[in-house]
Amino acid sequence: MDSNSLPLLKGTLDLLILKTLSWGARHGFAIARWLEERADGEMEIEDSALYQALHRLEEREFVTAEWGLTENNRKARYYRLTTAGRGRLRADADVWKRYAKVVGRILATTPRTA
Amino acid sequence: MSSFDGFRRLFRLVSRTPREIARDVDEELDTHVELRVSQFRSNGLSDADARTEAARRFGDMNQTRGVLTLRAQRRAKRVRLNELFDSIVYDAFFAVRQLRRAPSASLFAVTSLALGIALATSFFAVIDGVMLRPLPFRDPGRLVALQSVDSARNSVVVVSADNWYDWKNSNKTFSDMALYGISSRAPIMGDEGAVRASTVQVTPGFFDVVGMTMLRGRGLEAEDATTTANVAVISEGLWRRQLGSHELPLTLRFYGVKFQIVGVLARGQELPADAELWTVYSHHQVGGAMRNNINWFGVGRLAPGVTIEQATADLTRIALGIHATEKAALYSYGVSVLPLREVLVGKTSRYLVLLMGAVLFVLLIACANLASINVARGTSRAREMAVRAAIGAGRGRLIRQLLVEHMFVAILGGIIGTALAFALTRMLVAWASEELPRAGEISIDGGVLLFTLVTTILVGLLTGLLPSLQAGRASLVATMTAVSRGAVGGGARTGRALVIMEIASAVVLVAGAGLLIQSFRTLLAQPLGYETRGILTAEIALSGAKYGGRAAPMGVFWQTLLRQLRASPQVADAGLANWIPLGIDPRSFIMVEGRNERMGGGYRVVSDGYFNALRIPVLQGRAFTNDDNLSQPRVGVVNQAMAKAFWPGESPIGKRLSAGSMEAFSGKPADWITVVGEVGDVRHSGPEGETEPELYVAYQQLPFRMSALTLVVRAKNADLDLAPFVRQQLKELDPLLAADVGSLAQKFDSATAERRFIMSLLLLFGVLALALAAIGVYSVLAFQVAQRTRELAVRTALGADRAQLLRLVLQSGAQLIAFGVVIGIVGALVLSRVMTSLVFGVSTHDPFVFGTAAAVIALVGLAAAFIPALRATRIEPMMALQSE
Repeated sequence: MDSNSLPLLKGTLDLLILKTLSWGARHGFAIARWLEERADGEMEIEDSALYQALHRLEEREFVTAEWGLTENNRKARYYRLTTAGRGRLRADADVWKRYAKVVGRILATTPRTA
Repeated sequence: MSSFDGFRRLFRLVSRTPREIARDVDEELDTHVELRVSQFRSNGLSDADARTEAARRFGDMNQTRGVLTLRAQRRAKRVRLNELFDSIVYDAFFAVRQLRRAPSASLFAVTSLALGIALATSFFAVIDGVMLRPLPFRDPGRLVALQSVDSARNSVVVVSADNWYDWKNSNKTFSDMALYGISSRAPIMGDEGAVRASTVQVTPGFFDVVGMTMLRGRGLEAEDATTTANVAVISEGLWRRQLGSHELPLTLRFYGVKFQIVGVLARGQELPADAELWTVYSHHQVGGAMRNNINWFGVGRLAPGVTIEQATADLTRIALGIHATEKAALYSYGVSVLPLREVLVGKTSRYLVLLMGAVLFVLLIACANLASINVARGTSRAREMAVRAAIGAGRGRLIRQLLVEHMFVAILGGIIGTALAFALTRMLVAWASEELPRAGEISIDGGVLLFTLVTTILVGLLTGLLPSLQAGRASLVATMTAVSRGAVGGGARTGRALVIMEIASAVVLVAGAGLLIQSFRTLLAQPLGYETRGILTAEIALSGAKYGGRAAPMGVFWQTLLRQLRASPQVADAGLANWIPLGIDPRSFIMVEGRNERMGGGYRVVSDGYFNALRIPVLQGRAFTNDDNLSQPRVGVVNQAMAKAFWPGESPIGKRLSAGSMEAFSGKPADWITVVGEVGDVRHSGPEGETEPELYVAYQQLPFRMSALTLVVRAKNADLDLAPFVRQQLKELDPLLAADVGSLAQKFDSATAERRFIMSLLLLFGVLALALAAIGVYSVLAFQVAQRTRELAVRTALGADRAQLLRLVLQSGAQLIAFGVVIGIVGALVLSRVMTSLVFGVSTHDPFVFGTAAAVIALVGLAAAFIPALRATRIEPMMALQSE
């Protein structure tokens, strides 16, 4: 594992999963691969954390799951956004972007001596 | 969204077991790991390295597996429960539709269950109030009743104050003990005028010993007995009625004497139950014959941790000591200590349990009835069930649907039954308030409602389970083909068995009621030895300045009263007695001259005219006359039983005896009394009582004054109400006098009221059971005829005549009835033993009663069978065969 990779901020994983599913149903491994490619090695997500998050989202009915087949004819569980999940994604993404902007702006200011 | 919901519903319908869910999780994670491994391998890693790297990337596999599985299982369970609830709601709606499709059958079902549940609830409320709830006093488990044991080892409910005084002062096992007297009605003047109220004397500390709750003020204490001021405690009822609920201090006049009210006793706390005014009695030890003057009820509070056995042993030791020093003490042989509750409600409990058993029998019959009807209907709905099974309803699902349907009926019955029970309980309490102790405490509370709920659920199961299981068993192909041939008979056997059980239960109830009716008839036919019809009674107590406690003016009053009443053309005769029949039985030691043994016997003070007024026959010698007074030698009259017991084979006339325990005072021996007459035996305690040797003495010759006597007046015409006339006469003689005027017939009625009450209820239950059983026979046969329409039509077409068809169906009914009656008679023979204490003058296996019960059931059952049998003969073969 790359020791330079970023730790995952609390609550971010749910948001990232919802974003991943916004293009259609995917199984757990596909979600992990997609996120790895986007993060380009700068952020590592443990697989166990991913699955726990998926099941949590399923329980809250932000996603639903069904059995399907992979390209290689393996049986896999496909996750799909629900209407509630889509709304959740929009709201959380908004909050996250504003948060990042404010934190970035504050960190960008240089100290001035009085 | 709709497609998602549709998907979700589809997904949920496949409810997965916990094991399947675990397998799902495993499979999902395994797939993931496999995909990882192939990813790393395609990156060039060896198989082993790829696996190691995949495991590292995953993290803690076991923990994740566990967490995910647990969560998924929990979720599935929640979903299942939701679904179950949804389907029960659906079934309930379906049930309503089913009920509306057969309104008369539904109405019958709900009504019979409602009645049964109402009866059960009301009786449970009565049992709860009378038997189950603790007495309404402080720490009631330690309260005991104290009773005497006489020389013949008989328990006697009352005690002597002299003995009690010794028990109280020498015991080591009681916190305290007190006495209360026999309540008597007396005139009381309050703000709202004069009334007669039930008054009773109690020893100081009585209220504290019993642990009663005072609404106002305090109980009666030791200092109340020593001060000159007269004090009393009154009941809340009397306080509200007569004293306008005014705050203390209050006064009222009682026997013309002013009393200060120091306390008001809260409602429901009365002991004895009918008392309204309590005054203090302070006892002075006399000893000797006073030890036999037993007219007090003893009550004690056990010291903490003391058992009844220890208390009994302690008091018995004291009683034996008394007996050793005072040989005259007839009732000092022992003491019996019993839980107060047992004494207050014990006798009632026994018959309440019997009645409750009868009620449950009725409820059971109602359930069996419905179950048999449900089985029958279930069979006719077999096609519906088969179709449901065909489109995919599982067996469990079908059973549940039917069970919900029957449960729905039961709950509907339960709700209506509970509403009915409130009214019924009030009726029962009003009807039996005289016979039921603690009637005021009977109410439908949470505990009773819980009983109702459990009963309702049981009823639902009893009426629904059998038919539901029966229907669930139906196999599709068999049912469909059988239905089309009209020959489904699966439920018929169950239905018949249930009806046989109903008939058997009805036999038990009817036989039980029959035994009580027969007992009552025997009882009423029992010769009492005196007249009850047309006899007026008036309890009179003389008090106030006019008499000043002196014997002479009292004597004048009594003599004048008798003379004036006899002067009326309406009066056949009038007399006086200290205790008339159906009251208290005073007893005394009797010494016969020339013999050294003491004998026991009744002791009654009566006036001239008494025997004639009550039509007690004089068998030998003479009755008392107005000349039997103090200036004449003491005379007495004995009854036949005493004459036989004391002087067998001889005439009692001229013999001498003395009433030791009653007439010996302050060391002076009792007078010798010469027997001048013999009269017929009397059952003084009522028709169930025995006749005992009794001595009558003349009221004007007593060594003490008689201030309270009961007047008996026989009218020439038994239908004439003498009360207004007697009241007028009493008023003229003493305007301040208030008397309790009643009739002997009334007293006889209330002496037999309890029996009448039990008998009427059991008869009612018997009739209900009979009606239900008849409906059961009818419905099972009607169903059979309907099911066999085709067969009967073929028979008719082939030339069977109507009489044959009638016989065919009746035979089937007669079979049911015969089985039921035989089983019922056997059951009744076994169960009638519980009625031993209630049955009077008949054997609990009385063949007449049992035969009659069997005959009645058989006749009613055959009558019920006749209707469907008649229907069978009216089948038009062509129509019946074409309709299939």
